[in-house]
Amino acid sequence: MNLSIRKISAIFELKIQSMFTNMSIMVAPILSIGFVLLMKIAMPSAVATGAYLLGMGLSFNNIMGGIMMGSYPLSEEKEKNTLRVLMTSSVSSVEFIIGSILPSLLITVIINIVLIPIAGVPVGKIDWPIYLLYTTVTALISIIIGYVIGIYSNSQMQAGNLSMPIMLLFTLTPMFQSFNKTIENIMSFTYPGMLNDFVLHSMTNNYNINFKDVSVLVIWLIVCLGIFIYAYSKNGLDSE
Amino acid sequence: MNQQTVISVEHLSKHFKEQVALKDLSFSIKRGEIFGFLGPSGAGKTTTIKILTGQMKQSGGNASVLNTSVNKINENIYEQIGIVTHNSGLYDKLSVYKNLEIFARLLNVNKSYINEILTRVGLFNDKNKKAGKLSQGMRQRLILARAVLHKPKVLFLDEPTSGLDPSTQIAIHKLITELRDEGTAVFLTTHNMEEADKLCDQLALLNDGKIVETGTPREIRLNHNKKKRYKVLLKNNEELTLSQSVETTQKINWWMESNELVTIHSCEPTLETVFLEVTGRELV
Repeated sequence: MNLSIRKISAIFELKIQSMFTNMSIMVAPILSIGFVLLMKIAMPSAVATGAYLLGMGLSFNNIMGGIMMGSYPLSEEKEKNTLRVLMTSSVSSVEFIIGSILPSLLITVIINIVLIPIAGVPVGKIDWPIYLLYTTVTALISIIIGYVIGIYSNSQMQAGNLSMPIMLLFTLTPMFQSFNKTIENIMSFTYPGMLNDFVLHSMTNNYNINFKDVSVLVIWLIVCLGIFIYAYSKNGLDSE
Repeated sequence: MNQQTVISVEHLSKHFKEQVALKDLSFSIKRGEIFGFLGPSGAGKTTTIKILTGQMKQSGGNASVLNTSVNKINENIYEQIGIVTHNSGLYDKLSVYKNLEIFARLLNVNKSYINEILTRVGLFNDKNKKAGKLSQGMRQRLILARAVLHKPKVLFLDEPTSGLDPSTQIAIHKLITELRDEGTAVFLTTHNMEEADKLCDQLALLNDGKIVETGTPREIRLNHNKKKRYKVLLKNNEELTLSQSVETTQKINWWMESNELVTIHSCEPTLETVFLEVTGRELV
């Protein structure tokens, strides 16, 4: 398989422009910053700790934002009848997917970094390699889930309807896991729960990279990739 | 395959479960030729384009485009073919120029050619306008400009002027004939018999997935001109339709000699009439 850097970079540029002109795609990253700022101002600092705020911001941006950035652009291309045009313009599916995923991942990673000072977490407290690794892999998992939703959606509205239950479940449940032991146990086997655990523990300086967390991430990544490959092989990106 | 032949179709068929969409189609298209596929909605025109451009698998028969079997088409062939379908989309939030620039990069076309093609389709002065702000006719011209940006060897046009105003239709017809003259083979589907008659070098009439007549537009019309008739207008405003006969010849001679004849037209059938005669249905 020959991949063309020229074609991937053209798709990358197109997607960056499309994202910045589509508010429904950018709503999650903007919301994540907005909510963190709002909670910081509105809630007492004893409750809205830096770890809590960062965990919430990451949930919005990495989970909700990732899923939206995967599903919305793909379904928008279908809705506007541009995906078929691209796919009949000498772009391979792999070039399209790489060129489309990279901008979503880049925006998500930048917001993940920006959220640290906004949440009031001292930059020195962050174990950067692990933080970047975990947040990037979880963002990638969310984007892949978004792509699966995008494959089965023909419009942004349909993508929104299909995404909503998954986004709510993955975004909101980690915030409540500290109130219920069973939920906490279940969530520790999910990538949003694992991400939330990591943030809370790393702020108290007692987080060490461990087999369980890495396994959770790797298994989620492999399973989501498998589902994506299955959905793609059954339907293509723009099946009729 | 002849060196000049760019599309070759042999006994092509397609069915969707029980429904037969295409039946035993055979035809070929040469370089620098406009081949028209004339038929009513649902006749199988779009299905044929989808098979020829590798977007759909045929159920039977063979077809090749630029010496590549349609079963082996991959993304590389799109560097040599252009496609305009009736629902080709544009990036509405991007400018006219930007819409073409993206595809220029994808298709490795020099950016300087973008302005040239925009001038050619009459959109140069609108190049900074958002594509979403364009009229239907301007959108269609932009879509056509995008399809020919890389100077394709084969251009597939699926109802390119459907629903457009006459002046846009004329502009698009002009561009299509220019491309033909430059050597591009054009596969044009339409249900507009005037468009087919005016543009096409070769025609195939398609009905219920089957080719019912082929030839040049003139050949098709003349082959079905079995009852030769002439329509005349005389000085006294009398309008007559006369069948071919010795008597008619004498009458016409007499009117011409006495300067009574104002106009005279032969009454060969239109493509629409031929289609109706051959299939029993109209080109709707």
